[in-house]
Amino acid sequence: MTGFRCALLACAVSIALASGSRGVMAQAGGDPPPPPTTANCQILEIKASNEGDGVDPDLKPLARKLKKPPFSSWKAFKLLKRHDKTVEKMKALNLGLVTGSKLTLLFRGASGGQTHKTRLRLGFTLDDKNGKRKVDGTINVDSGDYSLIGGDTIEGGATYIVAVSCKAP
Amino acid sequence: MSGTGPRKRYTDAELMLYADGELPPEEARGVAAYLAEDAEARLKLESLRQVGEAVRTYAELETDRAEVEVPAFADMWSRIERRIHANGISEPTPAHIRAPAAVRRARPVAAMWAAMRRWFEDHRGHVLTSAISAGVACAIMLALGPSWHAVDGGRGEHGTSHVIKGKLVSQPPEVEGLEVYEGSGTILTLEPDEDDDSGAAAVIWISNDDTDLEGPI
Repeated sequence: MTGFRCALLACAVSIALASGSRGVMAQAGGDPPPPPTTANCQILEIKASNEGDGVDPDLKPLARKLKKPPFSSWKAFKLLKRHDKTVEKMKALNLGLVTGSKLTLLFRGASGGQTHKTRLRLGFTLDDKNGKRKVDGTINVDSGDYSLIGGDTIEGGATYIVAVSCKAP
Repeated sequence: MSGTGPRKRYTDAELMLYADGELPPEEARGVAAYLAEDAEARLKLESLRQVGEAVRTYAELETDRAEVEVPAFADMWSRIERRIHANGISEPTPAHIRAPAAVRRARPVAAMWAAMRRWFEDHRGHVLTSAISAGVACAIMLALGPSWHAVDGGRGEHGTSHVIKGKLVSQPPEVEGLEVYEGSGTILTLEPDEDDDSGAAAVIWISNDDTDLEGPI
């Protein structure tokens, strides 16, 4: 009987300790981090054409996607310029592009949790070289995923594409 | 056949007490007889003696050091010792019945050691039960704790969340609002390939209705 009591007591103490340690573990690693107030963005200006073949090595993260429609219409993809910028929440980033047009990027906020990737809400506008607005939109995208805006032509009949990827730090 | 039945086997704790000379004479004789017949037990006794000797030596050195470095310790120890020998009465023990200093110091250590071993021998079952209980409790708590999401197999369809074991849930991009001022816009989602680590990509394709105007975006 004493042995049984002792075992019962040990079991109860063990469960209590395990519960406590689990609580501590949850406290240590479970609380969601505060939402980020900045995002590190990469903006890639790309020229798509049928002159030559292959994807620029600098476009490796996008290489697979550039083989799918609508990009599969072109054989060659060349990086014209790469911009790496840190954007602050609700502070517009104005970026001059090689075509003379202007991209405005606005990091509106981020959400996420313990189970989902950080989700970024990004606003963007594209103005042509004359300052005339062409596109205005807002997109929700996972941290690190790309958004591509394209379709217009540049000199030589090539197509111009802007790829944007932002990561929450 | 002798007819005396199997000889009693003595525990390590009893051997330890024997080595320390703390067994009653009758039991000590039994142990001596047991040792005379069992070479393995003699070897064990020798090991216990060596361990005991090492502990005693260490204890002596530490006590000597403490007595030198902490005079209050020496006073306290002598007071405790006097009380023990006077059976709780505060009378000094006659000098002629006091054991040599080294033995006096070693005995409590050896007795404590023997008592600990005895306790473990007696409560081995309880200790084992406690350890198993603790292990089971921890396993249950870990199993009930936060865990990774399992593969849901919903890959490939537009708008499906991708849940991969050990990774956070991915969601496809979602264009919340889009205004194209000239021409028209098409929104596409490029899903990642099975072996593609990168996520999905949103494509906003702008087609000019009148391509020979305005120029590039």
